[in-house]
Amino acid sequence: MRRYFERKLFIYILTFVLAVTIDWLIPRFMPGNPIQILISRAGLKAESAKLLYSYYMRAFGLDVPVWRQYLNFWIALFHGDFGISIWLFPQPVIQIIMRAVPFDVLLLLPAILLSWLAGNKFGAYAARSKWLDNTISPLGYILTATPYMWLGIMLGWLFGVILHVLPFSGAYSYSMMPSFSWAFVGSLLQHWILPFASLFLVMFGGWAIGMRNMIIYELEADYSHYLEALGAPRKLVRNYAFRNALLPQITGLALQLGVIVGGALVTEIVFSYPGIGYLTLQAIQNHDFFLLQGCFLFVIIGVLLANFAIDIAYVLLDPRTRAGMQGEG
Amino acid sequence: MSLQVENLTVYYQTLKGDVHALEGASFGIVDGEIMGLAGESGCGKTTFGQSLIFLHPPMKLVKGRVTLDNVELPIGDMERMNDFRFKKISIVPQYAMNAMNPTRKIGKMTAELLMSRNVDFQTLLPELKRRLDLVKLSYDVLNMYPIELSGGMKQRMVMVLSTLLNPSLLIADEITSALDVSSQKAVAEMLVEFRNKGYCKSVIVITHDISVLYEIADTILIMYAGQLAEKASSDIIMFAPLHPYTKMLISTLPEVGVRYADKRLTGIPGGPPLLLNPPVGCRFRERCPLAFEKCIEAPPFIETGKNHFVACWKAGA
Amino acid sequence: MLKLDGVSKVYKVGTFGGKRLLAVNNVSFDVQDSEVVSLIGESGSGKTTIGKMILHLASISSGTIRLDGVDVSKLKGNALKEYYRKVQGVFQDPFSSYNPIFKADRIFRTIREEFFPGIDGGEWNTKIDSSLRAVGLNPDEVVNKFPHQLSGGQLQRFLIARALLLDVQVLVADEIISMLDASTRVGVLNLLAELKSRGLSILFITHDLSLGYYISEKSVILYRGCVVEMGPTEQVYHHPLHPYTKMLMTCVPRVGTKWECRDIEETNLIAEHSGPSSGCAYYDRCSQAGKERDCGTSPSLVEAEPGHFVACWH
Repeated sequence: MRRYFERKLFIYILTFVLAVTIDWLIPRFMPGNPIQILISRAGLKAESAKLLYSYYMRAFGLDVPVWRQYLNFWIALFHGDFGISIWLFPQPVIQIIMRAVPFDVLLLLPAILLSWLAGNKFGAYAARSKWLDNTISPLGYILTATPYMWLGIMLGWLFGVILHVLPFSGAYSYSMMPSFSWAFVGSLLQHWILPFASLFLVMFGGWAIGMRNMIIYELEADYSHYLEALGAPRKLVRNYAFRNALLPQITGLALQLGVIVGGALVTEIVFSYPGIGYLTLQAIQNHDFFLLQGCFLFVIIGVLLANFAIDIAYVLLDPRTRAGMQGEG
Repeated sequence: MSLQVENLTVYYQTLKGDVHALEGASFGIVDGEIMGLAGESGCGKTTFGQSLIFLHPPMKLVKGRVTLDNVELPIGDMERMNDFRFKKISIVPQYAMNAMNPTRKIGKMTAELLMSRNVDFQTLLPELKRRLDLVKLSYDVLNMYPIELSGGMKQRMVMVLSTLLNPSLLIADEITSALDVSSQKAVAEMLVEFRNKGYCKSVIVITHDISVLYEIADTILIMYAGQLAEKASSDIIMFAPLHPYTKMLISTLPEVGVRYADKRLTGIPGGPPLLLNPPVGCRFRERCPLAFEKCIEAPPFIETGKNHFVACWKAGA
Repeated sequence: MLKLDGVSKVYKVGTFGGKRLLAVNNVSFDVQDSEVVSLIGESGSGKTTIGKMILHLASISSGTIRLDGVDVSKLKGNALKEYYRKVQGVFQDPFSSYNPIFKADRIFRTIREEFFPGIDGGEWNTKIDSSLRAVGLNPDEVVNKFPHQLSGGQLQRFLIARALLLDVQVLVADEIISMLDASTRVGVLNLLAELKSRGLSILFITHDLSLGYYISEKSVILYRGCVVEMGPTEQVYHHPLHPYTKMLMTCVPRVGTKWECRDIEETNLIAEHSGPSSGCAYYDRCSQAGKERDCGTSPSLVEAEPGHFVACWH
């Protein structure tokens, strides 16, 4: 058991190092020089621009050889230092990201959890009756095939532009300052509904279809037939099938939760919702590779942690993995 | 008569039409009888076993009556049949290795199954332990998941589980096929032991391995292409069969003591007919060396000697 | 002549290969030209692994397998291809040896592409025809059909015919008739015997003792990767020396004698397999094992009668 976790941990650490290295490389291979852009924004004379350029190069640590930059990057990382943003100079990247994360959690956590619960429930119902199967399944396929942004645009257009009942831009009214007032919370909720709904609906479709197919597979498994042949009531057979069908769904859930910190890129862009997804876009547009690096890093950590959580959860939930660990079966 | 089957006909529904998997089967099994049901793959023996306890789509009951202990079994009615399953008639399925829910401890699964049938697990527990002892399984298996057991252990566990409520009839489908010779013998003998101890009144053992049947069965029923060919005591089937198919089938059995160099065995030329559109008359006609004009009519399955039933025009005469 | 000398196979098991499983332990035997050797063992005895090693499908952990003096494990590229001209295998499940969406004779085409690239069409067809006839199939009936249109026996013969297209000397037949029905299995069995009389060597891997007896000259009994007994079939079956062989013999269902009538030792019929221990592999299940004897150390094969070897201290 301990050996198993040690080995797993080792693999995760290796993956982390590799992923972070790639994360470090990507912005550096992007075309365009971010410092030049930063300076050109200031509109200085050529001479002072040159002076400022060398200052910035030193400030961002770009004046040393590449290998040194890489090493410095790791050292800074262990101090929790993600560097300084170029776009929002001189704010530290970590601060900008931390400001965005609550919005992601607020938006994605309920969307993922609720769609998972509802999707599994309805998927299981669909496997039970023909009538429900004929309605939920096609609906599920349509929903899961819908691009997030298209549904987002449609919802925003319908409820925002045509009906004028819900706002479709930002996380709260632009005329407000964040505070703990009722008015602010109300505004927050209003702005939250449309992005939430667009995410919820698409994910719901996927979960429902997945659950329906898994349950039907489990109901055709040998152990289900054996129980039926021994006259076990449908309730028991379904219960077993549901529990076993849930296992792959849990994997899916954990993976989804892992990308929470990465935000929902397109949805956030459609609704100008200030999560990490939106931030990533800004970072790319502004050639802010420290910020981009920071955003990616969050995704990497999130996905790895989620995977590790699944590995542990599976050992607890599925006896077959436990046997596999001992080299049997 | 423990089990009485009359004119049982079961078809498989497929896109191409009905497969006549079991046609006009009539026979009886007495209390305490272990009847072997043998035949080649695709002869309808598994369909027959399934149809007695769990006749589910795409299987379709065409006609026939089955009575067990003088009560008619509603085999075509999935819901009403539930009253009989497990309690009166039970099965050790072909897939015994995968018959238990992989994510439930065996004991818990047993308890839940019994509870769902309104049987109290705690009162049965001492008996369950006694039977585990008999099949040489420790009680610890109840705290294990199926994956932790070897193939033979799972097989024995399912045997105990299936017979826990002392059914009148147990259907054992290919229970020895996947096992090694030594465990094959152990499992087969346990089955006899179960019958002797009254855990099940009578047994139908379905297998393609006739030599195992000879060791444990009282009577053997040979099927060919969805129809009954011959039923008699195992000694008669082995040494004095009347149906030409039985004769040929027995003669193909290699056994220790027979060598290619000394005595060449011969197979049966040809193959069984397709059951999607079975030929009229005797279905063995095509491969039969004795076939004559009358075989265009289907021979009845009649008693030619005491408890010896044959479906062949040549056998009665 | 195929010769196995001290062949062992170690598998790494467990999630990350942390444990080692000795699947085949120091096995030596040979298959002479025009000889059928049956390799008999229960599941987990390593019989299939031996077949795979001979066919170069599994690597050899230690020991050597030689065909006419050439070490098999070192073959690569063209030499390996030449080896496959001489050694071919047929496996248990005839249906899974075919790709169901292609016609069954596609297996011949692959042989042609691989081994006879220059042959002309007519010549090739006659070669296939004669090969199919040699395995007792009528080419008109079986060519141009999909696997599901043929019976298991026909498919198995097809595979043998495929092997015959090449200049095979050794055929590894791994449980090739276990999945066939009684009425067809004898036909395939007889076919093997005929091929043998034409000079083919056959390694007949089976768990069914009566099949092994029917066809083979020499029998090798495996238990947990070790050869416990080997020798001429008659001697092994009629005078088994190893307690395991004896136990196997009493377990074989025999027509004419019921199990009850035979003197059997019930004791350890179903022993659970535990990890490999030092000493005699059969120790846990053996009725004769005693601590005062040397059963704690592994016995080596001893020649008890001419050509009849047994690995037991008794």
